Amino acid sequence: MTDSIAIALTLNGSALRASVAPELMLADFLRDQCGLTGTKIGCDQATCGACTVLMDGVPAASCATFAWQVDGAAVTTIEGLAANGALDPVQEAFKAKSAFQCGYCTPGMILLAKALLAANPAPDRATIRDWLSANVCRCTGYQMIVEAVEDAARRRREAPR
Amino acid sequence: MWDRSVVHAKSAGRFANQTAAEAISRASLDAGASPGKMAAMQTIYGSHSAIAPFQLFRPARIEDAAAALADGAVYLAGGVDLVPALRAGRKVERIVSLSGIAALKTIERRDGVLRVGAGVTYARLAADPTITAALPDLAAVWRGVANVRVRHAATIGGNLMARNAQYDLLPALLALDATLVIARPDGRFERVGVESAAWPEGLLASIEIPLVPERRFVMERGFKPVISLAVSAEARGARVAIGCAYERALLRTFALDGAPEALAATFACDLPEPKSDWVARGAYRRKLAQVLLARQLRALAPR
Repeated sequence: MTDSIAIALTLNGSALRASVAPELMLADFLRDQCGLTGTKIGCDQATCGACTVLMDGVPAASCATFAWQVDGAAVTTIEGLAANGALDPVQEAFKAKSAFQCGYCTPGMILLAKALLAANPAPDRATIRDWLSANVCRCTGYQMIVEAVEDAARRRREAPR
Repeated sequence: MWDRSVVHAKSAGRFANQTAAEAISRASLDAGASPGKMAAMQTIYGSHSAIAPFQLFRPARIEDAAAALADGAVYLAGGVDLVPALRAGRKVERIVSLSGIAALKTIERRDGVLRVGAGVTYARLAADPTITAALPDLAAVWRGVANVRVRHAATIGGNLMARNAQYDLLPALLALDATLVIARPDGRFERVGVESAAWPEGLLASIEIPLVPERRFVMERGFKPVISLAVSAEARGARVAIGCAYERALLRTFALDGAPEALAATFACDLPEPKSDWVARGAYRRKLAQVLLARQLRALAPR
């Protein structure tokens, strides 16, 4: 049994070591201790997906993941996508298709789309909808988000990175 | 008091959903408040509703995790069920994380039995090559359970041990005649049919599903939370499990010796009264059981 846990992880490509309480949530660790406030807290119950980050490339609800659970993992937040000032193709596609309204669900949606395209570079519309059903857009802008994911798949194929 | 806490939480909070969780934890405090509990619950991290501090144990062996049960510990695998409960105010002193136990994640097929570790995720149950070869029908059903984020975190052991009448694995395993392998706190392993009403206390280690030639399996999940229906059928007969309609999923077996409609009518007639709640009346659940079973038996009939 432990009161404080030492963890080592890769956060957006950089090695990081930290000491965390057992009950500290990953979302709070990222926002409060790492200053990465791009990860949004929506429902706080692992339902809405706004807090989605990638753990070893797999989408996870950071509001329902304890910080110690990413020990040894590679975590990607929305801040980790743009490389050398250039947006990721998924980000470019969301911009081009105006796939956000209030923007609160956008970081989670983009990371979800990023994981989808890594697993399936050319998803059909049914697969895109199945994946996106994990996240909620309270502005209901789903049509543009689906189109942005299709556009992102095209961009990735044309300029892979 | 309940209503007042909700209103208070809403006016003080930043987001409606978060404050609802706060209200629930406050209400549960009101119900069983003690000064010690109050102090613990007031530890609030960041913008979240409180999760009370707990001690964490991360064993690498099944036996150590099973032994920890004697200390009143609670198991955490994918956290899909437990974490929202903690958010809603459930107080847990000790948590045993199961994610470091490799032996809970194995999948093997031997001597006509598929053995799946309790720590196997939904994503693996749906896509693992051993499972898709041995029980393609179960894998196909599981591709539609939950969403992609949950499928990568949630484990089959968690689905079963949450003992939630709306979850899908218990009906599926009843229809498939599965056996549970449970690690007891004293280090022994015990087998029990999933049908048994009294599972021995311990850590669920794995699930064994017999591979019966020509057995087909289908599951209707589209009418949840009114009802779910898991059906396995082979030459000898059918096993049908009903979820959502009783406190615990109910199993019935019968011979396939008639037309689907007649079998389904008899089946529904012989059911104990399903529960009536805010979702549906018992009579409606009984009627749906008949309609859905007839549909599934037709789908399973040899063509």
